[in-house]
Amino acid sequence: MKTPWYEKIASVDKKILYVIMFVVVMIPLLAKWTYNPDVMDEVQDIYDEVEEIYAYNLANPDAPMGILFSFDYGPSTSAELDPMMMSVLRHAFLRKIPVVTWVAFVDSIDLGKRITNFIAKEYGAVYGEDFVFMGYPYPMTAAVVAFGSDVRKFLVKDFYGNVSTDLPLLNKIYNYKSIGLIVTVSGTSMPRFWVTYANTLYGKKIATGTTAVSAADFYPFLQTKQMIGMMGGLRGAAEYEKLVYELETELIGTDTEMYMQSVYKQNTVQKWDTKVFTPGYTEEELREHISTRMTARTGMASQAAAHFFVIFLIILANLGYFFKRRAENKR
Amino acid sequence: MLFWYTVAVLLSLAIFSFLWKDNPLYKFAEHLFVGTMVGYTIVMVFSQIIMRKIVDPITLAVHNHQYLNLISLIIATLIGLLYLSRFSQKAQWVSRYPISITVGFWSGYAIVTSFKTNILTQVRGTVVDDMGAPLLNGELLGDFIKSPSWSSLDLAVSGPLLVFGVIVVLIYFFFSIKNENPMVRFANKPALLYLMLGFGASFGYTFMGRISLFIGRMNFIFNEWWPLLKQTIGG
Repeated sequence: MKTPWYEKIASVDKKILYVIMFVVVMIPLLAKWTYNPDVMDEVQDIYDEVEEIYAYNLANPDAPMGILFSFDYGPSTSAELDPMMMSVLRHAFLRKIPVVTWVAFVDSIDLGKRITNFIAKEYGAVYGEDFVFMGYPYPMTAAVVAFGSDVRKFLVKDFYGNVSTDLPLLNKIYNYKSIGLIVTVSGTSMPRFWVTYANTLYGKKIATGTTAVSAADFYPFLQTKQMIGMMGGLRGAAEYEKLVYELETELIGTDTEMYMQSVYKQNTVQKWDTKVFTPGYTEEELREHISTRMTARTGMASQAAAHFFVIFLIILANLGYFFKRRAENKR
Repeated sequence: MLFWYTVAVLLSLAIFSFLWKDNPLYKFAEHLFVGTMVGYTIVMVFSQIIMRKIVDPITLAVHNHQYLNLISLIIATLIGLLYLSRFSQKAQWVSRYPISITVGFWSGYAIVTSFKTNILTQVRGTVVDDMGAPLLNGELLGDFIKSPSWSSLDLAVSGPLLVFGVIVVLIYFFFSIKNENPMVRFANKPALLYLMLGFGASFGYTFMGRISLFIGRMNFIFNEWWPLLKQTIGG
């Protein structure tokens, strides 16, 4: 007897589905299709907050506000979270907002250092004056509380071993009074921790970037404004990436490659610490810097294809189930 | 650069090979990861905790003649060292001192802030919006009836839907045993609908997250490693 179609689809080997999913994901990726997302309010709010800090700094050049970036994720979620951290960092450096970064976990130390320096290099930012990397401020709760008074007493040295009080940036930005925004990018429940201590205790504004898996947990905090905005998963990253791309095009033009090279051609004085990054680019580095400007939007094209494929599978499986039940009832 | 990129690609493929079936390549990559991670953690804990939190502050305090600071650092370090008494069966009771100090200190910090963050502010957010206006606002419904539009409909129904959802889901969980009370029976169906919507959104997000990780690896292989390989081979 011929096996009906609904029996056949119920017994499809999962390896075949993996192969189809691989093909579905790869086509947009190899064809370099990009996704142009509509920016949702919760992402736009973060962007607007950074712009407000920029406007404040223009009006108060002697007492600027900085942004504290917390790398609250490890390499296991970097595919999803790197693009959003990179986008917000680019925004801050483009607007010359002082940047302080640190990491919440031991396995994030190199990741935090690499991404901070990677983006700072694009805009010729000088270590100690425009940005600092504080490493791993263990224990995290104590570090967050210490920022309420003077973080330099808790972190007497930065990641590179410089005494905190010797860094010009930390002499201006050493407590929450000079922090306009805290950006926590996390694959865990760390944003809740930031809300509990930095928002509830000190009233600081919290912007969150989170993995798609955790995004649904944080919507209640958005509704109560305990978080000012949220980038959820790769889609959130793609939205912020798009906003920063538009800003960058407006400020430095479309030829980013030429801009990045010109940063190190114009300056003959050696003001960059080679311990932090080497000025100038190799061809591979340039390619990497350019490609990371659209990682999330390229990824979202594959993501959309994968979602359509799964929706198709869900409909097909439900139809199969329906016909199977009908055939059984007839018998 | 190409060598390490290639190592990363081969390890990624070894991990993905588990999709086919468990195999020695997967086991090798898994063990390598665990070993590397432990080694990395030990080095980082030494350089970022022991050096940065004990050695550097003490050295600086001596250098700057801050003796009061030095004394407090030494006392804190000694109290911290009492944790190590757990290795001795005879002396492990001593470790209760640093544990009680840590628990006491952080409980004081956490209890009030957690209660305010997760309960008080959340309850307030279910009653009024961030501008202090009630979520059950008849005026907004009136505005929608006067000039119907998608935005006025959204404003009019989102508050009542949220309040209704919180109440029915709470009833559903509080009275999950068999209960013939008409209010409890009425709440069951809409509560299930709210829960299913919530689970559906979570599932969609979870799927998106997992695919994102796969896309990230494929992006690395085809858009970073492959061009580098082509460039190196092509000279």
